[in-house]
Amino acid sequence: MEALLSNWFFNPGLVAGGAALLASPIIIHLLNRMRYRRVRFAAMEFLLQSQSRNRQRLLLEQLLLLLLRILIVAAIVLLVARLILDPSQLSIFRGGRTHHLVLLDDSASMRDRTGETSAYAEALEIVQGLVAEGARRPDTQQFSLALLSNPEQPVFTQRQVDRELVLELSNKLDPRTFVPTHRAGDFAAALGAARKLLEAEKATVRQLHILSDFRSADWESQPAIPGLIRELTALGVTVNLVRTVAERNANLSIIDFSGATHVSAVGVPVRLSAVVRNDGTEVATNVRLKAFDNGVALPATLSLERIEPGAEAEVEFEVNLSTEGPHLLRATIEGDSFLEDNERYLAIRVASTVPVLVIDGDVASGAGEYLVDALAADSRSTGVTATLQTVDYLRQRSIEEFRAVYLVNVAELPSDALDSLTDYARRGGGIVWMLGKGARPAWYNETAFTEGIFPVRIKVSPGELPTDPTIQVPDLDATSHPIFAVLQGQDNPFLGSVHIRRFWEVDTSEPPQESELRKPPAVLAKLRDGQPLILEHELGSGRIITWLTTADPSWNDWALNPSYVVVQLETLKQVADRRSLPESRTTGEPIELSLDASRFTEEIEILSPSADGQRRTRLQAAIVGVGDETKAAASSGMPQPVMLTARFGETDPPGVYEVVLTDQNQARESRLLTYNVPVEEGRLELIESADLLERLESDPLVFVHEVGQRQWVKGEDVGTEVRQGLLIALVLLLLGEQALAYKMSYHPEPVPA
Amino acid sequence: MTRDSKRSLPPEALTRISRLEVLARNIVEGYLSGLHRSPYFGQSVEFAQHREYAPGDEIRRIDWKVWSKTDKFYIKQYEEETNLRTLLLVDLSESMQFGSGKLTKADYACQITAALSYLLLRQQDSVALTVFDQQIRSKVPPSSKQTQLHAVLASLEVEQPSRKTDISTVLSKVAEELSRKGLVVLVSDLLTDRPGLMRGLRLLRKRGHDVMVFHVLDDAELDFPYTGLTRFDGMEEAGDLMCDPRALRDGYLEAMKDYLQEIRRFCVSHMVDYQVIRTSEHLDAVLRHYLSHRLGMRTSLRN
Repeated sequence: MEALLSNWFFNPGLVAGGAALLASPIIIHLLNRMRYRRVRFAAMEFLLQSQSRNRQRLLLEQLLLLLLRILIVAAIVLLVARLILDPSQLSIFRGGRTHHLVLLDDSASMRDRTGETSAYAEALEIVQGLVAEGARRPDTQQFSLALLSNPEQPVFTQRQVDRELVLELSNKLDPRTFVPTHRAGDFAAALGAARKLLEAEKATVRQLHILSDFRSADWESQPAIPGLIRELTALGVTVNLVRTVAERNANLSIIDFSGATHVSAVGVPVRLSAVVRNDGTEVATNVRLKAFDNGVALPATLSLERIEPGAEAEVEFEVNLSTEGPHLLRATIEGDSFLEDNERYLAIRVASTVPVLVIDGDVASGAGEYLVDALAADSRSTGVTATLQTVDYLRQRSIEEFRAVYLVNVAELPSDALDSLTDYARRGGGIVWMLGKGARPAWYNETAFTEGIFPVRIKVSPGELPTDPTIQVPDLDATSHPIFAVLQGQDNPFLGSVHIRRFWEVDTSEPPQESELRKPPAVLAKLRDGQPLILEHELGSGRIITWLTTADPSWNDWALNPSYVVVQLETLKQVADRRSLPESRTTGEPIELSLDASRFTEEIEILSPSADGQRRTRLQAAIVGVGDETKAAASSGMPQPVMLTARFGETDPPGVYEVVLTDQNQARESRLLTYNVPVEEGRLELIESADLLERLESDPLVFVHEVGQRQWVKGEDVGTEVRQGLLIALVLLLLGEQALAYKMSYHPEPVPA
Repeated sequence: MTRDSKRSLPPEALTRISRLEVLARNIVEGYLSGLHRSPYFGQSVEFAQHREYAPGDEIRRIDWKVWSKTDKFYIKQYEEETNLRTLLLVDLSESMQFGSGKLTKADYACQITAALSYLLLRQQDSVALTVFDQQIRSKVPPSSKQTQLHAVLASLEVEQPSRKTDISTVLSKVAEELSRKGLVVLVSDLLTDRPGLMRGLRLLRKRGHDVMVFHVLDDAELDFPYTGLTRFDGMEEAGDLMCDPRALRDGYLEAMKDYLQEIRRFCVSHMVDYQVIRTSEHLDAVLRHYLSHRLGMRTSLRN
C-alpha cells in the first residue's frame, strides 16, 4: 500500500493518518450531538414550525458544511503529505526495495569541459548525490555502477546503499583520479550488459540511470540504442536518461593527420597533411597548427584562416626527417573545451632508402635505365634506391625487401617467377607493368591476365595513335588520380606536351570467362581517342599499375618530358608496399597478436604512452593449435603452423604503441601502432531531449533529466505547482466554510453603548 | 429574594407608579366617585339638567324650588362620577414560567398586575383579579377598598404552575360572570390555541367590555439568541427538539413575527388594546407608554 502511495506522495507515511483525519469533522459533529444544552422553552410552536419549514435546506447546508470541512482537512493532508500529480517527478528512492544501476558514460567526449567542471565530473557528482540520497533510506536500496567502456565488469555490484558506501564512493570517484577513457562508447553492449544484470531481479524495483552527455553522434551511429532501452522498459525497468552537459561547446578537431609516409626516407621531405574540422556553430578563424617530431616542435607554424561551422579544412606541409628509425609526429591545434581531439599522432618508420626492383626484359634496349634514372638519379633527393635486374632475378632471389617491382618490356615470365611475383603482390607488394615492343600478348592474355596480376587482355599487335598536327587535343588525357595530382592545373603544360605514338590496345573482343570475372581496372589515363593507356588494379593487398606503352622513348616521348620523373615517383608512392607502415587505430582497440611460433618466442613487450612518459608491459603469448585444432589439422592431412597469440587491451591513452617481439634468434623486432581519439568523439552536438523521447516513442518508463536538475534524485522541489494549487484551494475552501458557517449562525447586533 | 418578595412591588416601583395617573378609556359604571365621567345620571354633586317628573321617579329627587316657582314637578339630574371596574386576568400557566433573565414571564405578569391594582385602587376604582391556567385558579371579587391590594397580591400566590393554558374556556367563563361592563386586562404570553383566544376576546368585546392585552414575552422568545447544539424541551407538553438553533433562528423569528402580526391585526380589528411587553423592559416605562397610548385613543362611549 505504502509503495503504491509512494508513487503519488512525497510523504506517503502521512497519508494513512491524514485519511483518518478526514473523519474528524464527522466525529466532531457526532460528538457535538452528544454534548448539547438543554433548555426548557415555551414558544416551541414557532421553533417546530421553523424546523419543519427548513428541514431540507438545513440538511443540505449542514451536509455542505460538513463536506467543506472534510475537504479542508483533505487539502491540509494533501499539502502535508505532498501530493505529486506527476510520479515521474518523484524521487527515485520512493517505494520499497530498489536496485539502482548507474551506467556511466566514460567515453572521450565526457572530457568536454564547461567552466570549472567537466561532463564527467558532473556525472560523478550526480552519482554521489544519488547514493547519498539513497543512504537516507538504509536497507532498502542497492547500487551498482558500470562504466560504458567496460559494462561486463561493474565497478560496484549490488552494494547496499549506506553511509559506508557513500564514503567509499567519495574516495573512489575523485574526478582527479577517476577519469574517463579516450575511446568511443558502445551503448549497445552496455545496455545488453545492463539487461543481463537487471532481468534476473524481478522482485525489486529496478532503476537504470544512464549518465551521459548524449551526443547526437552516438545515437546516430548506434541506431540500436532506442530498441535496447525499450526492451529494458518492457521488463519493467525504469530508465533515467541523465544529462551531464547543458549545451554544446565549440570544438575544433584534427580529424586526419597523414602523408605518404610509407616511402619516407632519411633526408627526403615527407609531405604531410592535417585536416581540421570545425564542430562548433561559429566560424573559426586563424586556427594555428603546430607539429612536433619526437616531442621537438617543427619550425613551421601553420595557420588555417577560416573554417566554416561543420566544414573541414586541410593544411599540407613537408617534414624533413633526418634520422633513420621511428619518428613520432604530433600535430596540435589551440585548446578548446575538448582537448583530446586537438592533437593527433602519426608514427613513421623512416628508412635509409626506399628499395625498388626494376626488371628489364630487354636490357639492351635501355628502357630500364630511363626508369632507374627517373626514380633514383639522386638517391639523396628521392630517397629511392633502384636495382636494375633481368627476369632471372625473380627466379633466383627473394623480392620481399623491395617496396615495389617494376617490370619493363618483359616479354613473359617463367611460371616460378610469376608465382613469386603474384605471391609478393598478394601480400601487399607493389607492381608496375611497363610494356614494350617485346611483350608477348599470348602470355599476358592467357597467363598473366588469368592469374590476376595483369589487368586486361591486350591485342596481338600494338596499336598506333596517328599523328595529326591539325588537332590541338593532347595525346594524353590524365584523370585526377594522385599520381597526376602534382601536374594538374591549367598552368602546367607538361602532360599536354607528351606524345604517344604506339601502345598496346586493350582487347575487349573476347568476353571474360567466369573465372576471370573481377572488378574492372581503373583507368588512370587515356589517349585522346579514348583508349586506356594507364590502368590500376589490386591483387590481394597489393596495388598494380600498368602502362600500355613503353618506359623509354621508343613509342612515346614521355621519358623526355619533365613530367616523367614526377609521375614515376608518384606512381611509386601509390603502389609501394605499406606493410611496414605503422598501423593507425582508434583508442581502446585492443592489440591482438597472432604470431608464427616457429619464428617468434612467447616474450612480448609493449611500450605504451602514459601520463608520466612511457609504460612497459611484458606479455607472455599463449600457444594455440596444440590441442583440438592440431588434431583436426592432422586428420585433414594439412600441416598447421603452431601460433602464438597475445592480447593487450590497455590501449586507452592516445599515442604511439610499440610492440617488441623477440624471434627465435633473440633478435628483436619492433612494430609501431598509432592510437588516436576517435574523430566522432569530437562531434559535440547534443541530441535534444524531445528527440530522445521521440526516438524512444515516449516510453512512459523513460525519463529525461536535464543537467543541473537534481530533484529527480532528491525530490525536494517537486509538486510546487500542486502545492500552490492546493493552497489556493484551501484558502477558497476556508473562505467558503466561513461564509457558509456565518450564514448558518446567529450574530446578535451589537448593543449600543 | 423570595418568590413573594419578587412578586411584590418593589418600593422604588411603588414610588414611581404613584405619580402616574390612570385614565380609563371608557366610562364605566361604578359605585364610587372618581375622576371618571359616567354616562349615567344618578346621585352626584354636580348638577346636569332638569327633567319633568314622570310617574315612577323617586319623589325625593323632585326639585321643590322649581315647583315653588313654576308649580310644576321637575326632577333634578346630576352628572354622576363613577368608578372603573377592572378585571385583571393573569395567565400563570406553565409557559409563563419561562424566563431567560432575572424574571420569568409570570413574575413580570405579577408585577404588572400589582402595579395596575395599586394605581386603580388609589383612584378608588374597583379591581378584580382572576388567575388562570387551564382553568381559573383563583379569583378576587371586585372591590375598591385599599385592602383589596393585599387580596390581589395574595391571590397571585398560586400553587406551582404546571398546567397548560386554556384561555378560551377561561375567557368564556369570565364573560359569562361579568354582569357589568368594565375593563378586562389580560396579562399572558398568549401561547395557546389562537382560535380559542380570539373567540374569547371577541366574546368579551361583544359583551361591551373594554379589553386590554398585555402580551408578555421573554427576550429569548423574541430574539432567539441561542447558539450551539441545544435540546429544547417544550413547556406545556409541546414536545422537544434537538437542533442547531442558529440554523432555525430565521424561521423561528419569521413564525413569531407572523403570530404577533396576526394577534395585533385581530386586536386592532376588534378594538382590543394590545401591547407586546418584553420582560427586560422596565415596568414603569411600559405603563407610561401604555397609558399615553390609552389617552391618545380616548374616546367617550357617550359621543
